[in-house]
Amino acid sequence: MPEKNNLKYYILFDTNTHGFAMQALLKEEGIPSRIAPAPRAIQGELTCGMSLMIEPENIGDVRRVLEEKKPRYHAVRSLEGQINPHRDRYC
Amino acid sequence: MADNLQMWTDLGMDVDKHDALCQVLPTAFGDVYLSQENRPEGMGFYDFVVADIHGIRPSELIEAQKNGRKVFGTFCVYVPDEVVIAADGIVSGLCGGSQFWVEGGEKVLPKSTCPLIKASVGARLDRTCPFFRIADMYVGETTCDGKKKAYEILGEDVPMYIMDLPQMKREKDIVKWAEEIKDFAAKVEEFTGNKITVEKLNEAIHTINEKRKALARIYETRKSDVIPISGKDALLVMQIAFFDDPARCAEMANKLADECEQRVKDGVSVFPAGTKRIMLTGTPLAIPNWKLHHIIETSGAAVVCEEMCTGTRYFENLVEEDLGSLDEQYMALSKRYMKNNCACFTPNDARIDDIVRLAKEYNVDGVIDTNLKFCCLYDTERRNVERALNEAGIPVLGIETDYADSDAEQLRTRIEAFVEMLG
Amino acid sequence: MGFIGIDIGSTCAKTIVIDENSAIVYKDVCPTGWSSVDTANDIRVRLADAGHVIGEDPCVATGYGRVSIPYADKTITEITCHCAGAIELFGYRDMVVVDIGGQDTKIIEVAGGMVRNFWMNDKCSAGTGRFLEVMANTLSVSPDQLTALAANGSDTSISSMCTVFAESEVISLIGRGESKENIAFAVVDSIVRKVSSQAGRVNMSAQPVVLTGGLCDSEYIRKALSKELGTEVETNPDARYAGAIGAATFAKKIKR
Repeated sequence: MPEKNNLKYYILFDTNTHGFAMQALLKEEGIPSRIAPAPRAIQGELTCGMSLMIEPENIGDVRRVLEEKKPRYHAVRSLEGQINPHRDRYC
Repeated sequence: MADNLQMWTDLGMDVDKHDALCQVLPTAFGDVYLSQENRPEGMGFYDFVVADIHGIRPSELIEAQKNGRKVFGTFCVYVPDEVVIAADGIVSGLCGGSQFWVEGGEKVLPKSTCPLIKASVGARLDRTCPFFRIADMYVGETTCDGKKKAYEILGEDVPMYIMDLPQMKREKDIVKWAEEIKDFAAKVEEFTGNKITVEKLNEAIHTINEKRKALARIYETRKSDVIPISGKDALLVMQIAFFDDPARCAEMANKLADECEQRVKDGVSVFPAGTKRIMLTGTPLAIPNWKLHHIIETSGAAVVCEEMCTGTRYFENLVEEDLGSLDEQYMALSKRYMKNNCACFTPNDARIDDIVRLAKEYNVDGVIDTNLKFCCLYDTERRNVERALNEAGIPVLGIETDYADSDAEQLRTRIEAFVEMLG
Repeated sequence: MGFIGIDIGSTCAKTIVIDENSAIVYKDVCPTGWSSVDTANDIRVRLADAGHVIGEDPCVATGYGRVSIPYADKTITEITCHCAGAIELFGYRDMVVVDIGGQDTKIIEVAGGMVRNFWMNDKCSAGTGRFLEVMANTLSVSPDQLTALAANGSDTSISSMCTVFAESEVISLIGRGESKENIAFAVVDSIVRKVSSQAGRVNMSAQPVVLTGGLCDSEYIRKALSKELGTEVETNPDARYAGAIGAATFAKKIKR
């Protein structure tokens, strides 16, 4: 069965510019991140937008960078079960 | 990004209804795209574009309009982008690939119309897609009966220009298409207020050729035993190519091609060795139609080539450059575009030859011939496609589907069985 | 040691266990029901009662519900399994398998013991067991009774292939006072014609044609199909288990 838990962290932004700056910063720090459309459940008042998806094993490093370098971002949220390649729900 | 909401409101969109699409897109994109491992880094750009698909590019287009530029929305790979660009206009694809828009189209079209047409009409009339709001003029072409009649409906709501595409490929048809291009150029000049000169058209021809070459480079790497990029990712690149600025499209595609070429050298594949190689042929897969690729690539096979408008038909063949007069240039454009092999032509043997040639070039184990429900042209042509592939000893599976999720289970069974059959 | 094959169809779940010599040592059929989880559990319990323990005996699942058997070692599509099952049952390496299932009908061309090509009906119940069931229901008879009645009917036809429209045609035939036998004849005729048109691209006369699936018990269906296809169609009392038998033969190849 597909990984129901499949916990991911998402860094949300107010603008794409902040998102790209964050992506560059994380790359510099050697922390993997992937651009993802922000899942609706955690998007709040933001509209269709960009987020950076972080694997759980890297979230500690990310938090350290957020603390040390104070890059601009909106929030960090975690969410389970977002990615399921066998769901067969398209759009 | 809350700016998007303001922009959509200003565009006269039905923001609430549109929100339903915004809700499902991240999930579908996550399931289909982010579930993949070891993707090329160059896909980051395309992920970003999708993440804000109704924000970034629309706002660029609106900025350009503020500076007096015109946006032309097109539905087909036969409409020559070069002419629009030469008049400092912008081209944006308008094909709808989501079930979300189909219902809106069914309000005015017969249900037995292909989903691509229904979605395109629905996106306009329901006001749920910014690109359909932004385009100052729609440019249609007579590639099928469904579209021809749909243009009459769209024409009640938006300026509509139609190009009359010949349905045969005799010398006089190529001449006729050159004339159609010339007429279109006159319309574009009138609408934009800009003159098309030999120099500007040569520049535009060069720009689009460079875009074609860049996309072709990515495809070239997919011929390798090592598969450097998934079919889904290659499809996304093609789908976004219809919307993006052509120079940026070429730049990003070239970057991705560099990476794919390096992967081939280093033996980096996104699939395990021995994964069955599939070519898809048939009707276009407009964004965000990722269903077939996803099912194939989660059934133990890889898509290595698309003989489709959202595939080889978009970039194969170049237009002759550096000609000295507009008439020669229009003729050169006609010659290139008339090399495209759409099932609307009769006879259409060249498409059958293309399919067999591509199947060999891409070293495929099998072909899946797909057609959008109610596209009788491609459906009928399937007979010739299957016969030619049978003669060439290449297994083929025929599939008819639309944008709905409801047949995913049946498709999985057929596609898995086909992959099992390939051994 | 046994080798388990489970075929979860849309109507019935079939379970087969074979031994090292490929002899059938256990067979079971039960309704699929609405909960695939319950069905899967149910099958596991019944297998255990018969001494076949999941986890010890290799197990392959097939059929549209194959993914709902969490304890299967492997899933294989029903196309491939029907091919393997038909080879076991009928002994041919080259043949055409016609499987009339609950919700779909498959035509499988088998060459050299492998699937060479296959055709499935689209998402539509025309020409399937479901169609027969709906029509039997409209006539207030069981599907078995319907095929028995059909043997004594003649000269009536249903023009629509669509189950919904065909049902209203049947209702108007009833209203017109047409006999049950004749209506049943028309229903079977409609299924047989649909299957035949689906098989139109295969050369039937050059090779054996076998019928698998839940309708294999009906001698009338077999005869009607033979007549329509222009060749003698063979069947076997165990042909409804073809998918499960095929799955069990694949279970034999699983290395522990």
